[in-house]
Amino acid sequence: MRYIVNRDAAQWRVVDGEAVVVNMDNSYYYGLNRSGTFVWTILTEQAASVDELAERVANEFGVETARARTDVEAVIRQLAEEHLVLEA
Amino acid sequence: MRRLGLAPLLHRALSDAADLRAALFAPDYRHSTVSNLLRLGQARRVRQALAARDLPCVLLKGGAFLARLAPGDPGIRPMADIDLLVDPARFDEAAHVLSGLGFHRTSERYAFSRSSALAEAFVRDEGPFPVEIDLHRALAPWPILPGLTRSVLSHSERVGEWLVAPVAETLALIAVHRARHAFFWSCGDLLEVRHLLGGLDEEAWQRAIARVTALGALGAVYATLKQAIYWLGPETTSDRTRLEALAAGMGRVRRRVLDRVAHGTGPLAPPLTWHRPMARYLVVYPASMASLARSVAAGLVYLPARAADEWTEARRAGGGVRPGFRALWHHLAGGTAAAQTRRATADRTPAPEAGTERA
Repeated sequence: MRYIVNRDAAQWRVVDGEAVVVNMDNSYYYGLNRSGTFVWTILTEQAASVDELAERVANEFGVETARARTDVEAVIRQLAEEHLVLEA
Repeated sequence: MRRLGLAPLLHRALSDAADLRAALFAPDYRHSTVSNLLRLGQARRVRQALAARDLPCVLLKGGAFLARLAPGDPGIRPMADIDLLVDPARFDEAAHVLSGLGFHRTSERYAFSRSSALAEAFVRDEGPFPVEIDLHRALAPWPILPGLTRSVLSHSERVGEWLVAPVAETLALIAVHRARHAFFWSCGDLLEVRHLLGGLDEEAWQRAIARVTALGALGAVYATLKQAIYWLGPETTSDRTRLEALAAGMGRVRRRVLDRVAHGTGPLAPPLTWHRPMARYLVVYPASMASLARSVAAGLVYLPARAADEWTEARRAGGGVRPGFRALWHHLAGGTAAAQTRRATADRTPAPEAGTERA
């Protein structure tokens, strides 16, 4: 399954290296950490699967792919629950 | 810097210079970014909904500043609301569109507060961040630059996704705004003017100066009238609460009379061109000031009653005619300092609201 940013609901900027994402539907905002920002930035440019994202996170931050996958799954789950990312 | 609304801009400048002091203002910049993203995002939805009805809107003030000068960096200039101008002939249609998007008028109850106002405030208060949009039907009260509204609508420029006022009109708009606020120039306005000047050649600059020169005298009149209103009005902190307090203090019958005056028929109804300056700055009753006749009528209804209230209260407290005069004088004189305090408070750029951070 591949995911992409829901541009109808999300407004975002990267502030001091961390993404600030505003949900236009409920007015909440979300501050993403460095790895979350990395994932978000990828999804603003192209659709990607959890596996693809995990591999890129592992390469970028020098962590094991399995651990990166766990983190990516958590981020994607939260973003999907808020309808900030959609299935592509 | 925070009070002047410059902290986010300072954060940006210090960050660009790799100055560690940027961290001092990072929260201001972050809050400004979040709130402006939300405001501009909602404004974008409004614009799209209006466009679907072939009803263009022009982005004004802070939103236009960001669109023109910092389209990718909405955090550098704090905003309290979004200002949109629509064709006054289609104002009600635009208001209906906002209602359809979940916005509601902030002063729904008082018809008299609306009909002559340059703009009406709509708010969408779902979630932790209320978003306010000031929908303008006009930009300057008569007799200031009577052609300004039409000029902005006719000559608006496309900047990115937005229509904004041309540079010369933007300067005029800032001048009008500040004249109406008794020449209280904010640093934000000065920065905007400084940036806008680069978009004018010498001839255009001379035209802009000539256009707004007369605002000096009119601004002085407005400042005087506004002070007078604060002296006369009840002690409240904003125009909105002042209006509510005024209405609450009038009682049903007087409110109904003034509503009738504001939206009257018969001899009071014919609109005169002499309107709007008094509407805002003799604020006794904004909409009732839509014409000279209505202004007189509103004054006859309101001011004697207000004076009578003061007089009666003073006499009750002091037990004679002399204390009545003295109390009335003290009320007027004592209102001065309080009014100036309110003035400073009202013009202060509001701090960014607290957001809700989840992830």
